[in-house]
Amino acid sequence: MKITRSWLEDYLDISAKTEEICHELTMAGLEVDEVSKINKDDLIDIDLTPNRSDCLSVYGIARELNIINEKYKKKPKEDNSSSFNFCENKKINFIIEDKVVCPRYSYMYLKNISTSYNLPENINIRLKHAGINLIHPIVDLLNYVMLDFGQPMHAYDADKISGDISIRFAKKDEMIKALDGNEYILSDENIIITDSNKIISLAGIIGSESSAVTSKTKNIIVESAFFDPTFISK
Amino acid sequence: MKALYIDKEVSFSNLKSIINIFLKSFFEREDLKIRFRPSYFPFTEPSAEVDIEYIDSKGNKSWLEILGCGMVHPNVLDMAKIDSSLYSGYAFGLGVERLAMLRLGITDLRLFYENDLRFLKQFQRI
Repeated sequence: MKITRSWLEDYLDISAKTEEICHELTMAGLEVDEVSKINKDDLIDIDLTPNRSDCLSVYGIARELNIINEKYKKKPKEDNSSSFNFCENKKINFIIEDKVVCPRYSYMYLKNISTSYNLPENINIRLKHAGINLIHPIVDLLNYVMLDFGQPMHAYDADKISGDISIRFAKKDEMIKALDGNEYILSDENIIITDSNKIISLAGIIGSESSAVTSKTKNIIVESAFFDPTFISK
Repeated sequence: MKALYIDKEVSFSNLKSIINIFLKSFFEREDLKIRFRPSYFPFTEPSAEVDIEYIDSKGNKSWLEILGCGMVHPNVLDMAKIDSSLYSGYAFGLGVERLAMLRLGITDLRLFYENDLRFLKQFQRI
């Protein structure tokens, strides 16, 4: 995972040199592979082991550093929330066929998003350094929040979805054409999300091409959910 | 090369001491600096990677990863029908070629597989 020092400094007071924090991370089991200089910042590449998904975000690394050495003090939270007037309380029916695999599912409906809207430049720069392509302001923002806090989310083009949405296990040999352009054959252990006539995503992993947000998308359904990790990891 | 040791009352201290003894005698250096770094392997918990200090061609000190080790995961023992409430164990694994290269200053791994007698005969004493 690649994160910049300046992003960590959003959360922590860091007076030490980058080499020092990298050494501390490495000795705590978060092995730093490489540090590269970019502009006036340092890009830290951390080779995370699979048991440390709690550190798969900038916030997670900052939390770990604060625990490793208390001299990295947490910064007080800034409240710079502002209202967002794209949101509409549109009722969409969600049918969760098995509560065990998806204990929590939430969504937000966003309408009439201007596609010419640009995110603040520093967000775009951070995404670029993390190796994430810009697609659409809302998708970019979701990716940014995922890098920041570690909660993955997904956006659907609302105009490409029809009828009720349901969450269920796939049937054996069902197919999904994913938004990376590949087709995947599913097993009955995969969790999928469907609308009334097609699969719109493989839960927690990848969306389908048929419901993907593009640069022209105006209306979006944002999904944030918790799926049982034992099924997602299969 | 892999090592596995299982007995009653085996602890990480046993693992650490055996690795220290092994590396110091293998490299014939009592002052060899060794460090353990937490890591992750599926079959051991906790797990660590072991680095040794070396001096590179420019004279800078740095650390070189040399092996992986850890305490055998209780589930592994249970699956082998060994009572993990009574027994514990450690395990470590390392590449013999890699270690031989470091010890003997060999720079190309492929030399080991060529069965060239001129090469092999150089190491009769070891």
